[in-house]
Amino acid sequence: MKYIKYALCGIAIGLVNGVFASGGGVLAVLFLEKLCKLEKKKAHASAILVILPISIMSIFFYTKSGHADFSLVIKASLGGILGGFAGAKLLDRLDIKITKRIFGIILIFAAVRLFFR
Amino acid sequence: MNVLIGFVSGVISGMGIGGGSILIPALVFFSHASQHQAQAVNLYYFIPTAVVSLIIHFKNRQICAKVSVVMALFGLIGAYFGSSLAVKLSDSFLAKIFAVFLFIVGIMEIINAKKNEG
Repeated sequence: MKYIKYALCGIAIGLVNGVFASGGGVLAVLFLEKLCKLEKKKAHASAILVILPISIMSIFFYTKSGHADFSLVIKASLGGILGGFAGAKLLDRLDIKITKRIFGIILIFAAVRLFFR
Repeated sequence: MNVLIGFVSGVISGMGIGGGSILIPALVFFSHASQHQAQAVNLYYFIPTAVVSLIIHFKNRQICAKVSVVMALFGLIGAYFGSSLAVKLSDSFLAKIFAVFLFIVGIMEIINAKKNEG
C-alpha cells in the first residue's frame, strides 16, 4: 500500500518537473518529509536521487525539440557551481528564515512580471 | 551576465532553497532566453551539482534508497508526459503557467519561513 503512495508521489513529481523543469525537488522534499516521515537532512538528500533521473528524461525531450542553448548552459552552469560553494558557506552566516522570506517575495515579484509581460 | 545569473542561483541552491525557480525567470528577463530555453538550462545546470551531492550523501548514508528509487521510477513516467507536453506548448503560454507556478512557490516559501519560527 505504501508503495502505491510512493508511486503516485513519483508521478506527480515527474509531471511538475517535466512541465516546469523545476519545482520537482521542492515537491520531493515535501513528500519525503510529510508522507514518508524522513528527517529533513535525509529528505533533502533522497530528493536529489528522485529528481536526477527525472531531469535526464526531461533533458532528452527539451534537447530533441531544439530548446538547448549550449553556450548559455555552460555559462550558467559555471556560475552555478561557483555559487553553490559560496551558498553552502553563507548558509551558516545568514538567518535562513529572513532569507527564505526575501526569496519568496522576489519569486512573487518575478511571477507577476512574467505573467503580465 | 549569464555567468553572474548562474552564480546567484547557485548561491541560493547552495543554501538549499531552490535556485532553479529563480534561475529560469532571471534568464528570461536578463538574457532574453525563451521560456523553453531557460527551462532547458535549468535541467542541465542541475546535473553536475546533483551528481557530486549524491556521491557525498551516499557516503554519509543520508539516502533512503528504497523510497527514492520507487519515486524516481514512477517519476520517469510523469516526466515523460510532463516534458512532452511542455515542448508542445507555445512559449508564451508556458511562461504564463510557469508564472502561476512561481507565484505558488513564492507563497510557500514565505509560509514555510513563518512555520519554522513557531
